[in-house]
Amino acid sequence: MGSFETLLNIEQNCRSNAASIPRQIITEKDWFGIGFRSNNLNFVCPMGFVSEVLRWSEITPVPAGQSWFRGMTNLRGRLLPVTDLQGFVTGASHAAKPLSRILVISSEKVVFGFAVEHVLGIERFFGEEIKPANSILNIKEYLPYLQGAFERDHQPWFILNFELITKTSEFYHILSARMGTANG
Amino acid sequence: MNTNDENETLLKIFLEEAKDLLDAVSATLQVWSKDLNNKSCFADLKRDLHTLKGGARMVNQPALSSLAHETESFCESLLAGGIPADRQAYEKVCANQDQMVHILEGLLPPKPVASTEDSVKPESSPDTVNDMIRIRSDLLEKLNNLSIESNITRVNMGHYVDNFNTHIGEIARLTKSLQEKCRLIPKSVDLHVNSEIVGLINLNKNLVQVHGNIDALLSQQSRVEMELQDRLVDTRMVAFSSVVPRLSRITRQIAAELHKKVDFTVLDVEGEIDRTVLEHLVPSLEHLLRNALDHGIELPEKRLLSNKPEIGNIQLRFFRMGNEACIEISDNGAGIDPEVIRKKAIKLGLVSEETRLTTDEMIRYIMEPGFSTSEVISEISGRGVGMDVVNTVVKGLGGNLAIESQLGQGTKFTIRLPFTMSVNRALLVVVQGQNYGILLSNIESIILMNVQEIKEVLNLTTPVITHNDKVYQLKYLGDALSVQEKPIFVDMQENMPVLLFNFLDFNAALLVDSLAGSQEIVVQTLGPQFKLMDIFSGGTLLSDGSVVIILDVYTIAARAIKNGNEKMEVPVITKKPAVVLVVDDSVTIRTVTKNFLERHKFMVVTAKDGLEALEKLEQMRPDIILLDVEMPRMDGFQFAEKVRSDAQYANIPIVMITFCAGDEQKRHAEALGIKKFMGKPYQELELLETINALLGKT
Repeated sequence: MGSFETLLNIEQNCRSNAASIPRQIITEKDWFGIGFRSNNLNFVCPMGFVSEVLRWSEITPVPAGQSWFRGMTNLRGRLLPVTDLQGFVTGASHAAKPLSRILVISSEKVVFGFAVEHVLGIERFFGEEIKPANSILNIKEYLPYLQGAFERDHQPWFILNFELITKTSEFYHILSARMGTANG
Repeated sequence: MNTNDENETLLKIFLEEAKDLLDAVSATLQVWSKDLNNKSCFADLKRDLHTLKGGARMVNQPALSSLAHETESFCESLLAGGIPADRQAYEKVCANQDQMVHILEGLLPPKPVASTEDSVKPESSPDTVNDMIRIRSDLLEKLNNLSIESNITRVNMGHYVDNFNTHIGEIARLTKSLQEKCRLIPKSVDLHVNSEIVGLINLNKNLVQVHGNIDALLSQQSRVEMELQDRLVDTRMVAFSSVVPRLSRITRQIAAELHKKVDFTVLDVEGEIDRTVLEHLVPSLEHLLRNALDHGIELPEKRLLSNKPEIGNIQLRFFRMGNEACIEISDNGAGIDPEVIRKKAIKLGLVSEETRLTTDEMIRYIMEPGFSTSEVISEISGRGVGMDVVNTVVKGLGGNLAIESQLGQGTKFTIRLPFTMSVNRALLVVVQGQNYGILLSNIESIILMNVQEIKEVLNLTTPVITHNDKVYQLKYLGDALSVQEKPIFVDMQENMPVLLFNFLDFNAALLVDSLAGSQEIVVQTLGPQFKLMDIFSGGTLLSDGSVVIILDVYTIAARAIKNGNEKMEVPVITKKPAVVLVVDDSVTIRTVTKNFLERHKFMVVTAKDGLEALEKLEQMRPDIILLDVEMPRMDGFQFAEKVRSDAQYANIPIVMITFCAGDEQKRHAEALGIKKFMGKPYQELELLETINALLGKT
């Protein structure tokens, strides 16, 4: 056997034993979402809800607003209200860091921004089972906005539905109590 | 082009021109109606009608041209004095004008020229129409958005270019230090780096130059974009006065149909309004006018019987108050009878027999859908939209419709619309390092106040300042916004800006840390989360891309100042404090009286004698005058005579305060209509009661 044939054999061998390219095993059960961190937890939000991710830019605070309401920023000529996710849910807003990002959520022609600690990118779950979130979540305040959780490498990934937030009435009460009393 | 086409094009041009001319005639008629002897009107009418006549002949419209000719001759006679310029003459011209408009409307194509396709072809038309084309509004909207977006891209590019510049500087610094270090290398180990370093320096120079060029181009682009933005915004706006001819014509026509005599007065209609808003609004305005004529203004005979002038009056006013455009339509007719409304409401099952309603509440029922007091509705107001539709339209535009009516006196409809869709000039103010926008149209004036003075005033229980004889309650904007209660005074800072506002029902002064210039802004809404926050009227983007919140100063000031007063439990006598003019030559009496009255929530203006008091009267109108008799230059009686001889001030109650009043003096005073004599020194309580009693009566 010549050296060329040997090489061909090796190639054949490699091909038949190689792990297939991931794309080929996409099944309908695969789940895609934008992964992000907030309050030291991993979250994923279904693709399609997030229309874009903004870098942290100047946010104009709104006087007399709730502490979780970060203010307004400029989304290419449109005004974008920015809510701190952690602040809205737990009451204590996160301190903005260079990695902080704003997720832009479009909901019924209205856009809302949500400030999160870090955006991890597109996360994909291969047919993993969606578990109820309450058994593994220790910050219970998030529960009303979750639609379950994935588990990967013993790490929970909570599925957060922003529409469950934007449909609450609290979300529209950005007036802080101080000013609220002044209104009588 | 064949003759037919040519005729058609000509006719189109003429129709446009004729419409403008008849609108102009209508506007002139407005002016004439105010002063029947105004000769300049006849000349204007004559000129416009002459042009119209010429045009009508050119396009072979004999009916229109002969009517124009007839009216023109009539105006000529008026001008020459051959015909008396009386009401009859005025009505004749009006009738002719209406007929001409009628003929013109008959000539218009069935569908009014409204779409792009119908516009006059530019290549086939003379220069006169070249400057007008019709464009779809959504296209303009799109252009506007694109322009804003392009602006923001430019701003971002500017940031990167600045960044680039910093790097160039850094390269220059490093190259220099490299050059220094190379000098330390002994000649023996020359690495021949010198030529490379020189190369680097040259490259750096080139980069600096490139940066300079980019920077210059960017600032040029910035100017162009600003201009573009301005022009695009202009395309959205139309003058409110453009609908006035249409409204006044409708008023005249309906008045004639109903055999009612009415003057249509138009007050300050200057100012622009968003075109879309105006288009939606016009049918409602027409309805309100129909209503005013049909239900409001009475027939001439009836008016005479109830001691009113035979000719009724309908007023149209367009003005801006705060962040709102206000349109007021008022008549001096019969007013709305709350009893009729109540009966109807009971009949419709909207209220029960027992429900007690205030007049205002009852009047609001006419805005209920399906509510029509059909017994009195004729085809005039029945044919259009109902009050509920007017209300819905106004609400749909984000506005508010208010009705005030007094039985026998008249009715006033006020439409308030937000200005959100339009462009405004805003002043940027700084509070605690944050920029806020305040629409310049809201601000009466801006003054600089000494810091020491500010500190003193803010320590008062009710901080007030006086400017041009007006009293303003002072509030720190940071406090009003609950950002920071007291201003932080910076060392060496001598003055701080104070913005003064004159609202309809109160005056306010807002202290800010500093000003950051003014600029044209497009107000955008802040989104659904702000529905409950009425202290902001919107937000805007500055040219550097940052967001600035626009404050609704009226709401902020009303809340901070008016509510603040209520909290302090100061009796609020009237919405607007009554103004007292104190005329006395003794500075002590002036000061004591001023302090005493101000404690009781009056606004006090003082004068040291009659002459000074007359000067003050030119600037303000007091509700009551407290007058000393013996004074230098002009005494109390002389002053009172002057006041009484001026119709504007004749009704202001005067209280005379004097040491000894003889019978002679008293008779003299009575002849001047002086309401009350008081001895000097007066008793505080008695004075207060007297003032309240006199103000209550007037």
